Amino acid sequence: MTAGQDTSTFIAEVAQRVLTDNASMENTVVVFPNRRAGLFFRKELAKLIDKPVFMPEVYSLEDYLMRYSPYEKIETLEAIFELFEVYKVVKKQSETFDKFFFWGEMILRDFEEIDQYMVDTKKLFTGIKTQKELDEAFFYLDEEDKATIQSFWASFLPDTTATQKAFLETWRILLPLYEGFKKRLAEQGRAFGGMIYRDIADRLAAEKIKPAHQLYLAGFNALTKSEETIFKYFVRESNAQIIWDLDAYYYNNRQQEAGTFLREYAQDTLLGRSFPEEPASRIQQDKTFTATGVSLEVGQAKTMGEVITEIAQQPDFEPNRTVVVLPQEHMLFPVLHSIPDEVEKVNITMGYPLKDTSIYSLLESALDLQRLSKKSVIKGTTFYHRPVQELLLHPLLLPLEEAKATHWLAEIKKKNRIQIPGKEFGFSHPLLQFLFAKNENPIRYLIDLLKGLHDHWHDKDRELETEFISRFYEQLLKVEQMIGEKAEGLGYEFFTALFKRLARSFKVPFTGEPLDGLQIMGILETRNLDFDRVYILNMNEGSWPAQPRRGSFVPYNIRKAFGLPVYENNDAMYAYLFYRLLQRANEVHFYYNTVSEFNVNGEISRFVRQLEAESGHTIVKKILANPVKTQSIEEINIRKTPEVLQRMQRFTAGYDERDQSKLTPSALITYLTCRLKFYFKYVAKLYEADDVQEEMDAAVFGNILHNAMEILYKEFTKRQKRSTIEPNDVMYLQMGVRGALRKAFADHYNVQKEESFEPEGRSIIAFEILEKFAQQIVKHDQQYAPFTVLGLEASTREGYHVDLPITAGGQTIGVRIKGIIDRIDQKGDCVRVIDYKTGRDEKEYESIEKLKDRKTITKNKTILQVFYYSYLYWKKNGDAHRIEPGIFNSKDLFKEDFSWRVHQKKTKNELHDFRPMAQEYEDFLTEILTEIYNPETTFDQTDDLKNCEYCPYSDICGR
Amino acid sequence: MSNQNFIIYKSSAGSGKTYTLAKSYLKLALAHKGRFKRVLGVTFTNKATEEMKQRIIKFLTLLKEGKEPALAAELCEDLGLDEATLRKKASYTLSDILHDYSRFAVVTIDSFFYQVIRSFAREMGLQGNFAIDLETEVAMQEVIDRMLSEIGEEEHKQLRTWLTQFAEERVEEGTNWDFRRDIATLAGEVLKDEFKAIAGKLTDLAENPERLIKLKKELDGTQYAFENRVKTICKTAFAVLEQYGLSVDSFKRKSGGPAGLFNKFAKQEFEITDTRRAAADNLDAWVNKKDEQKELLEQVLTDRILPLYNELIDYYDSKHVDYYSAVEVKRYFYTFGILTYITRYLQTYRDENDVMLISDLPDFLSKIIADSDTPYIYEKVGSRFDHYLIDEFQDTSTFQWNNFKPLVKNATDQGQFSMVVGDAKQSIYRFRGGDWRLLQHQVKYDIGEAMAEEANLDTNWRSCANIVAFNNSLFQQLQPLMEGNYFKDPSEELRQAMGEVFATFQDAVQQLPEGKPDNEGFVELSFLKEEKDAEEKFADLAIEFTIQKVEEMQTQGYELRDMAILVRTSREGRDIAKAFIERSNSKLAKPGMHYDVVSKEALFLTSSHVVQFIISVIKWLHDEKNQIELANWYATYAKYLTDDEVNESNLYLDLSQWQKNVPPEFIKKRNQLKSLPLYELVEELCRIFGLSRIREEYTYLQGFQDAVLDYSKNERGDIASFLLWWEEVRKNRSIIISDDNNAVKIITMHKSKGLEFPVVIIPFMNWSLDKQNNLADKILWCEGVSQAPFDEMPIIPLRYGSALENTHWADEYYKEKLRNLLDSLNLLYVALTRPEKALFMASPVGKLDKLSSISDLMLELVNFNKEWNAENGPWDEENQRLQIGTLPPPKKETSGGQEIALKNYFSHNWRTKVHLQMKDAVEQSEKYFNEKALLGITLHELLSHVRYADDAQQFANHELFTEVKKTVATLAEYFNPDWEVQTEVPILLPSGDFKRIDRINSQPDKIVLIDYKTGSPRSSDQKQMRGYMAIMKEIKDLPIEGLLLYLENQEIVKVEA
Ligand code: SF4
Repeated sequence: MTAGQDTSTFIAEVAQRVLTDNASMENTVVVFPNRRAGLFFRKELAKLIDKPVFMPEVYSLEDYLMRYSPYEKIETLEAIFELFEVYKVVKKQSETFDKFFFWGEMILRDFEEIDQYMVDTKKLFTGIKTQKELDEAFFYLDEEDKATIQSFWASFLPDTTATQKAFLETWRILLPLYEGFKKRLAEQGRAFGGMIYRDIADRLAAEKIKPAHQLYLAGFNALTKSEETIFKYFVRESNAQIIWDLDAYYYNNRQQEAGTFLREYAQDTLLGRSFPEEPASRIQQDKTFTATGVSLEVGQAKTMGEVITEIAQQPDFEPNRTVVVLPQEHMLFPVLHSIPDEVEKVNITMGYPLKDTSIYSLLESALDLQRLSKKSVIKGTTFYHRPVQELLLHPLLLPLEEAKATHWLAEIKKKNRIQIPGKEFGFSHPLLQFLFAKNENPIRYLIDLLKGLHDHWHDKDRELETEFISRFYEQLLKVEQMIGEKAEGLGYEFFTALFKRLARSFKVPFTGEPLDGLQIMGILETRNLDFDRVYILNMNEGSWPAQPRRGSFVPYNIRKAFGLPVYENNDAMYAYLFYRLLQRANEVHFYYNTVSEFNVNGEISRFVRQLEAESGHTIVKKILANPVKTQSIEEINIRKTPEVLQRMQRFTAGYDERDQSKLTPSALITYLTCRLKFYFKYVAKLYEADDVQEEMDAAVFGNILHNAMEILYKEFTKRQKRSTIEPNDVMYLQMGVRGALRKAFADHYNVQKEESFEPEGRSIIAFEILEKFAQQIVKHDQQYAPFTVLGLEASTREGYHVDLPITAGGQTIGVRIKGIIDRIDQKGDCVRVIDYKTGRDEKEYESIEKLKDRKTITKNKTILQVFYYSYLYWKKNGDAHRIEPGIFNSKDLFKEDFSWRVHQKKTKNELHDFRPMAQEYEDFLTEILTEIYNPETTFDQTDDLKNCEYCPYSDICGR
Repeated sequence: MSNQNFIIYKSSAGSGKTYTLAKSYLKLALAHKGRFKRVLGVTFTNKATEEMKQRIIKFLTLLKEGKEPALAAELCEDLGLDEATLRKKASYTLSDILHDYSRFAVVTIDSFFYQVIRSFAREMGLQGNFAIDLETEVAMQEVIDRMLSEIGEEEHKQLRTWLTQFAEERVEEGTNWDFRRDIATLAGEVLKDEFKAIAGKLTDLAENPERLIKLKKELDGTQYAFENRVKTICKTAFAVLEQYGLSVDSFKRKSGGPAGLFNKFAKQEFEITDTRRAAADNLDAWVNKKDEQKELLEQVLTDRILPLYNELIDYYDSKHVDYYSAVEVKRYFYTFGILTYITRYLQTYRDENDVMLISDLPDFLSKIIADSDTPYIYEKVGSRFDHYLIDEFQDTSTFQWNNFKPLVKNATDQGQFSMVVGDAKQSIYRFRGGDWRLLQHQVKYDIGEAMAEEANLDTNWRSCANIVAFNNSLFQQLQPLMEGNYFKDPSEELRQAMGEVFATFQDAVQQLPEGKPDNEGFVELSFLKEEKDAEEKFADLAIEFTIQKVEEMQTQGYELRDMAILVRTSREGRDIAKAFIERSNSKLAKPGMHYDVVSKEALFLTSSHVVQFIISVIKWLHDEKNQIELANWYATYAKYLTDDEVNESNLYLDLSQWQKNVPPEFIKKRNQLKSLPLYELVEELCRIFGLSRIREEYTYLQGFQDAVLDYSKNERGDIASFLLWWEEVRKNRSIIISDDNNAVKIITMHKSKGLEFPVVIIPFMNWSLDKQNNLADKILWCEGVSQAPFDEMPIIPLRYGSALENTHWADEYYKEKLRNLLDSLNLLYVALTRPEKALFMASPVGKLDKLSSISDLMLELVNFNKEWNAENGPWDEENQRLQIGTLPPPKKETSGGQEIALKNYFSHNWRTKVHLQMKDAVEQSEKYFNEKALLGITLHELLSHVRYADDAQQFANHELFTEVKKTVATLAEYFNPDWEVQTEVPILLPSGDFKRIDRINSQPDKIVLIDYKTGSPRSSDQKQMRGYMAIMKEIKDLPIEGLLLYLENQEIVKVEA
């Protein structure tokens, strides 16, 4: 560090003072605002002694004062429950606890402050009804305060508005609530913080308590009224010594809010004594300041990391004289990961947030599971799919019964299952059985769940997880202790909310090097400590100073008038913490966010601006701006290497009798839309995630229609023992539709007993619509009847496949192609080859030549297919009959002049016979297949980005 | 003060709006100490807020240092101060603000409303801890999913039918049956102000569906009645013809002629050309002079066909409006019910999550405002304002203004100064409810004509003369340019409305500040012609044009950072950015030229390989069966993140290879990684894969990590829910780059508002004057009309489109069409007024006399300005290019703070430096609740309060009293008063170590140390005691004894030194 700076820290000074004041320290007590200071005090004191000594007792103020209180301190959560009991009594008809909770918290805070600041509640909670009252009330306040308060109540006169009534409704009960609440607690021998302090403040004087020891009060700044009273008492009665930590810079300048409280105390006859004549003036000694602006947060940590990396190599670097201050807890992770390895030891005063662990998510999912579960008469308890998935996927649950879990995950995704009956799961692992059963008591549910997890995992070297599990277990036990039997009543809705909030404060402490590591701490922990190098992140408004705790039932002006703290106090306190930290530092680095959004503040902290405008220090301003350049994405162009070709043999005749893979029309269409996609799907066989995509849905939709129609006609022809459909058969068919659909759905969701099948969510609507289609198709068949059904979903088995000879790489190979034909029927000499379509499909064709055109393939694919089927039929049955390709496409199905025939684009002439085109079509197929197998050509990406929109490989292509 | 204490500044572009605002603020703040606390500055965006604050602080600093003479002079003038005093006041006020900064109230409308609502939360029956949900889309998705997941349930039968019908409509229109997206679009409606205004009426309707169903019937009735009647007439006609062996073709011009009308109508193509109308009573129109069948034809016509023909026409004329109305109403019929359901579900969502959508704020506030009087609101909020300075007023919505009105009025009525500033011509946020008419008329009226003063700020400090001139010539002449071209034959009302629109532009001719040269600046407008059936479409040409200009400007010495490319949609932005990026890595790139671009619209996190990679790995970790993800991250890794050669062609064939090529640590740690907190997971991936190798992507990586951090800050940090969230937001997460980055900015016109750039390029001057940012189908909420059945409904949702021209709501349609026009023009105005020195525009070749797109307008403009077309005028006919003025030299200016860059993007393993405190707490807490141990501890505690035998009494009724007495008995001799006793004595060693001795008994000649022990004796106990004794020796050099007392069995052990 730079020479000539006095390196002593405030705590060192305190140690020195205590040592010199007292021959032996066995009867001295030193009190700091918080516990941690004690540690450092001991260290400093040790430096000053050469043999063992009786060490002064060192306490935090609270620890020290408890000895004067008969009360046991009550936990906030518990307090709110107690408060609620009183509330119910005071306010005859009351909201439920969950509605009350957050208000309870607020009321409790108000009560805390009211006692901390020893406000006379009788006066505070006066309600004003008449002008007269208004004029007479508040005489005891000074003019200004009186005025402000009157202005508040004035607006209630002559008559009150609805919102004001609402306000009074609460206001009126606050006094009885306050009194009732304190009485209740006192009877239990318990009290909340403020209550304890206020009580001590009164008690000390009343009981003439005289501590037997020499008391030192060191490093305090903002005191509450009761603390002040207590301090004064000790000063007067037992000559307690107060040691302030201050600097002339803000102490002597009235405009500096940092000095507000100190100046105030300096005026006091008792406290005044303890202030120095000539306060040290360190802030204006020379120091270096930098302020680095970064967009958002992570960059701040990274930038700081680099600075520290350099500093850490300098000889004078002392980790323990270096502090990283995090006004925002959530910056812990980014900072942790940015501390360079040059720094070997680190000490962290904040804890590891349990909320971010995977255990937490597990618990939250579990709560959701219960919260969103439904009871139904037939199915029993059913669970909502989202939490179920989250849980089954959880790294600590999945392994318990992997097979079943994965089965269910697939099941849910493929079939859009929404509410799953608990009894369907059929897990055999007790923990899973427990997890997926309705449970009435949220807390117990979690505790037992944790216990179960622990029992399973604690001996499977998952220390970390096991530890987290235990911590939650511990915390929840505490909660249970507090809430006790009330838990049942709480219900998941509320407990989930509660748990989310509580969990935020669940932390696992770090074991570090409290005294000689680099220090990482929050703002408040810096109290009393001094460092040589200071790094502060999130140096933004709303972060330092932090937002004042919002929400109080006592409106601003009334608070002010009665001396309750207002945001100014908050600001002043943070100002003090800020400047105090600078006093003995040489090198200060600020990092701040520069992006303003609704919930992010991009404004540099006022304190930096103050320094800049007033201190005379220059602050070196920096902006983090990394060069930005987007690499263009390299094209993917797959060459037909021997390996690739080898894979492609799968579809060639005589390849391997066990593998009968054949190319389908959709394969060809894929190839025509994008060769690379073809490669991924049919050559590399990269399968899509089961994840249900929008357009996947569409496909499913189509398939179900196909099945339904097949079932409908199969069953009909079976029952009637004839494959001809007569016009008046239609009635039966129409009645059959719903059943057929049900079956089709059931098959798709492979539900064994179709009657037990109930469509859910969107599939209900799909069902309705599909029925509409089916009925319509049947209607058209009626008009067409009589006709004979020759085949339904006819495919390889019915001989609809071909080995098409092509020449590739010099030799001739047969490529296996097949297709599934939705329906083939015959009327007279005319055979229809029919395809059902549920999409946007067109029934126009230009020419077979045109089918090769990649630009228009999406429009033409329907034709390509139905021709393909017609071709297969022709290949099998030859020229015997006229072949009419037909398409039942939803788009036209409902049109007045619907015709199932396809027609030529220009002439609009309908196609009545495919045979003349068959040969040309075969050539077309051959050509495509030849190209596919041609080693010279490559699998490249489509030019038309539209094809990429729903393509599962779009991420790989970066499209 | 003058009684005109409310000023309405109408400030056209570049006229120093912000300056005026800041000045007004300073005037107030400097007038009296602490006055600033009473001023509320209201801005449109958070960015603006911050800039305004900065500016005020900056001005004060400069004033204090006497560095801003111009402003100083004005202020001295206005405040009647001398320079010295002003400086003093400035200095004081500066500190005053800095030290009471929370009172420095420059805020966005939203945050102000939020503040008020908070202080009324209880009264409004809100949860105490409600929050604002910013990701409305995500919220909506959840709401919709929830809704769809429940349609199975009995009570939702009605919804089910609506949705089914909704879906059927889609299917019959041939669109995808799966309507989730359409619903999402629809859902957007419920957040709009228009909707909120009528939500009430809608709910009643939805409450009793029977009414809707009845209505539907009637509508069907109207529709089919019409269609059938028409059909019958046509059928009869055909029958007649057949009967005479004739057909439509028998008549003049066959189906093209009058007779064709029957064909058309039979095919339900209802349209009657004037020629056909004329033919109604004119045989010559039907029959050719020398047609040999002339007699017969005329015979049939007069007796049979013409009557039918006329009947058809008359019927059409009398009924078609009802017909089309019915059709149009049915189109969006079901949205009724669906929307109300969505509203309901949204409410549940709010309640369950204690959130408010940002769009809810105004509603809530209006409830508060409506009821309470101003002073009370101030009381509750805790700060009262006497002055309101509202910025961007043209974008304020009626909702918002109505909330401000009482507050502002209250202030002005008390003679306090307030002001609004805005520019109707730059009102481009109508889709967010912004309403320019507030600024234009309403506000004046609301405040009271007497109080309000209007001031025009029309000096353009920004743009050079030629640019100003060009804009003036365009916007002044809108009237002559557009008159009669946009609407076929507008009604009088419409004409007036249009006039008003033009007026707003006319009365804002921009002035040049004195002394500014009147011939500076450069404007180019090029019409790019698509060659017939050439691959190159306009878009490509325009992009090429843009790249060219950027190159030219560089040769002219301009920096990339001086240039901005303005686009209408982020899509366009993306295309341009893509083109530039490709160009920069292609051989077409000119040597010495740079092609770097930055753009919030284009530089999405997902366009970074590194980010891509991380996401993909995470997805894969989440579901290791997912082949595609494996392929994805492995390929990305192999191609971009390592140096080893890869044969991509085979890469995908055998993915199992990955194990051989990735860092072993990854394979080892895979499973731990899965249960790490999300943020840590990402850091670990960065570390393990050494992702800091591509420097140009740091910003992306950083941006992504920020997204992750932000997410896990509020949500649970598990992979599953993160991925869900990411899918929703990935599309619009882009990196944030400091403006100092030396690259061309690509920015949407909307976002460009309020900004200025030396050079502006507008590649796509081709947006439609009618449909704004082509919102697929916009809903118009129209009132019912007196005529049945349309009187059934108080309010009707209709799809905006020319189909409405033939309905009862033609006017509504025209009005909207006019508003659209205005939107387009305003957008144009904003765009054209950004540049300082040069403006380049590329437009397709427009059409004259048919105004449907900006390009048409531009062409009109060129035609209209005769002097441009004059001999050696700026218009170059051959190249279809307009070029005005010459390019001024660039001015070099230095950017703000010093720029630094990360040398590396390290991510370190912290677990080597510090550890978590491990104590398997389950066992622990078992202990914690295990009586015995507990007692041990408390007993210890109690004994420390017992110095002498009598002290024991204080615990007389403590459960452990007997235990205490036992001990006192066992050690009786040490509990008698002739000892001096200390308990729990802390001792410090020079080493810094520290011991605590349970009990020290001293007498002048000896000392006895006593330690209480729980549990059974251990040898270490004695060792420890000896240690104590040694230490004690150093403090007091006396004979020392040591005692150990085992509490359970009360056994005493003496320890020898
Ligand atoms: S993303 Fe586009 S280019 Fe890539 S495979 Fe799919 S379709 Fe082909």
